[in-house]
Amino acid sequence: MLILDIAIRFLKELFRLKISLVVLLAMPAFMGFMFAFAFGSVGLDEAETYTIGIINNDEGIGDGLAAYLRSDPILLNNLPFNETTLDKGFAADFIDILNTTIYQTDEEKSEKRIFSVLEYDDQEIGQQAVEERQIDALVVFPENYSNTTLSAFNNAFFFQNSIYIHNLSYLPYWSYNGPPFPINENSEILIIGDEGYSRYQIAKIILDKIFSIFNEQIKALNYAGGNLGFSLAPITLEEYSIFDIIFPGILVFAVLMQAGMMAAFLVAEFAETKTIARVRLSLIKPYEYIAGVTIYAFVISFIQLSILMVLAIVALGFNPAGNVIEAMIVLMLTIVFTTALGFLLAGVFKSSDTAGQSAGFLMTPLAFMSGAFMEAPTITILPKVFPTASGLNRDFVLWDILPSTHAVNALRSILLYEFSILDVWADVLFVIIPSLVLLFFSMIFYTKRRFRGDIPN
Amino acid sequence: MQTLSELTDIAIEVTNLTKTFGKGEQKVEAVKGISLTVKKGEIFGFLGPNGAGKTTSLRMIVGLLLPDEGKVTIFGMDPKDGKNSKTLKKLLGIIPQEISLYEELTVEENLWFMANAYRIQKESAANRINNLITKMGLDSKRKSLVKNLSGGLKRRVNVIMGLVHDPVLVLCDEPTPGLDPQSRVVVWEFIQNLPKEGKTVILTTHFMEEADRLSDRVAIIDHGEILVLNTPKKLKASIGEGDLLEFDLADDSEEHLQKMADLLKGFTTSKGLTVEDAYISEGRMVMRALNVIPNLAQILNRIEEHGAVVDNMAIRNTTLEDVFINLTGRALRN
Repeated sequence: MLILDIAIRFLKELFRLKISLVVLLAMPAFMGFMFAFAFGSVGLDEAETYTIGIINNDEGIGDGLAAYLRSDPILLNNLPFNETTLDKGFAADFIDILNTTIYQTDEEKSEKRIFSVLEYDDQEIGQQAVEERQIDALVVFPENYSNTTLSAFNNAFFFQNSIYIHNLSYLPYWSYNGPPFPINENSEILIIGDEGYSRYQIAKIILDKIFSIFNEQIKALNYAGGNLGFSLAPITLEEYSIFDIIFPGILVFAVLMQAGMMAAFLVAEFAETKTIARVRLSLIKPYEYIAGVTIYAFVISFIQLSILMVLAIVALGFNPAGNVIEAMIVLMLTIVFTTALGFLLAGVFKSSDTAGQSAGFLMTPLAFMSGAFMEAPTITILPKVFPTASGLNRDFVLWDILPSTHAVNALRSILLYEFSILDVWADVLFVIIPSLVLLFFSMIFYTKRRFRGDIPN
Repeated sequence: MQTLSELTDIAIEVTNLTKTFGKGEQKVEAVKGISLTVKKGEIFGFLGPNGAGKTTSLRMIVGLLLPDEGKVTIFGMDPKDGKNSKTLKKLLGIIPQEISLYEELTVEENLWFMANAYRIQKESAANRINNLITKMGLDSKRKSLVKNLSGGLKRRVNVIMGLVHDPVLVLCDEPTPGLDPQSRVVVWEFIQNLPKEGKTVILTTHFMEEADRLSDRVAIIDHGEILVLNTPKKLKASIGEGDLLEFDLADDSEEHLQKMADLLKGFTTSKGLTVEDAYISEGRMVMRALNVIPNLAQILNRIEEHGAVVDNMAIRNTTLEDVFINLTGRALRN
């Protein structure tokens, strides 16, 4: 098949050109190490207090069970909560903890609170506050949060002792006579926010850490009669760095840089080896040539991104929360955008060096505009219209016209916040649709310039 | 769909082809309304110095440059008509002036890529590729990467790259510059044999020997215009009969050379010598006349009497270079 012949030809040329091969393999490694070196030691800001909104839908511990526990001090004293929890539920306990959690800096407690908590009764109002950036994130406790927590205690107890709490009856001086403890109850705490907003990104990381500590504490309940207590030590953010947050942006930057390499190869065929004249005089149709080049770009990008991803996970300490394969799918879709840029550059420039250098100059600001490294200035075009992964509507800003902006957002949501590719459908659509439109026009432009126009001597 | 047997005996007809590059003061009229016909089965030479408009004309014929004006028909078909595009691409083969190869591929891989580009069946492509490699003496190099070949061998591969699809019209744009003598002979013989395979060849060159040896007809082109068009023999005859006698004089100043040339112009002897022409070419004084050898002594006496000191002297036949000089007053290489 001719399209594959063209792709294979480009790949053979690249792999046999040792310098290109070195660049191909070393560039992602270099890029990964460079960014890890630059940002890996930059911790998250421990002087900031993040404002979070709370929607507490927790219906608390069921009345029958709560009444029984109040009447059974032996059991209650051996559970890691007290009568206040029985009155208000676990979510309220948790909210108190969030309110009082402070940073730990250099092994000393600071006086700085991590969160300022605002409680909302209405989720819509809370979401509006997020959209207007009055709060950095909105935490929604589900109705069965307390039951889920009790279920977690009960399940952990069963795991250790092969018996549920409510089945305990063999002690000579005590047996359980109350209603059953919940088992296998599930619920999910929602953390809603704009994944492209840096304060949300950091607040989310801290919240995730607190929830994970809480889950670990539940697992630590390993025998009846212990006194686990439920407390939260001051939080240290030393293990988190800016690198974790910007890594999705680095991946997109790596994809954007592909445009330069692709353009350089295409321009070389036009201006240096002049083999484009042979292609043009043959029966190869422009779309076949373009499709072959696109396949080539996909293969090369896939190799480079895989190297970068593996390196980041294995050697640079990046810990993806979400599905790496889904992230790779988003990146592959972004290559359509890069390919379009590559054809535009190849249609404009007449020397491969100039094309490659110009691509470098263009792609770096493009990455910044896309918010790859830091949040780009907000220039709102349409307020509160663009759906985020957590279901909010955020402003459609100027940079949203760039598919790369949506690639960064989608990757952050998937890799950092564990959303699925389906949750970021809007970003995925805004990656692929404008990219395909741009690819269409860049193909026409390239065809007109290199397959129809003059090829000078 | 036309078949080759239905095609006209005229391979190419060019009418008033014009091309200008640049604008304003930078404007260069590269080709100024040239018209010509190329007959099927002939080798048609475009001879002219660098920048004369040969390659530009050729690239307009194959469609790599768009003419500002004029019309080209190839085997009666208009290349601008999209429905002829596929047929014409199969009929046309180009050997470009620059070495236009995939350096990181082997010789065979280059040729196979072109075979695939022309959608040639695998079996016939394999035969054709083997045949071309053998004819060009590249058997031992078929698995070599092009980047590792010498300039001469690359040039040979460059020639056959455009012929993998067995085109009937071959356009050779300066096929031999920088070639070693051995490779040049190989390429010349290859091109010379193409008409025996039923192919028509257009050859552009600034080597008069190449044009003279290979071409059935030659158009001499300069500053974008065709000055003359005929067979090499008739072109040479057109500037007069006789041999050429070239002198290297000790005093090679233009004034002195011109004085000697003027002295010889029209010089006659009783032994049948009549000097038809005498002129300066590349620091030498050149004269053309019949019966030069029996009159050599008298010719020498004539100029030595007037102060000329002859360092060297040579007799040769008329070449296309002389035709060019005759037409333009300067040598091809200038």
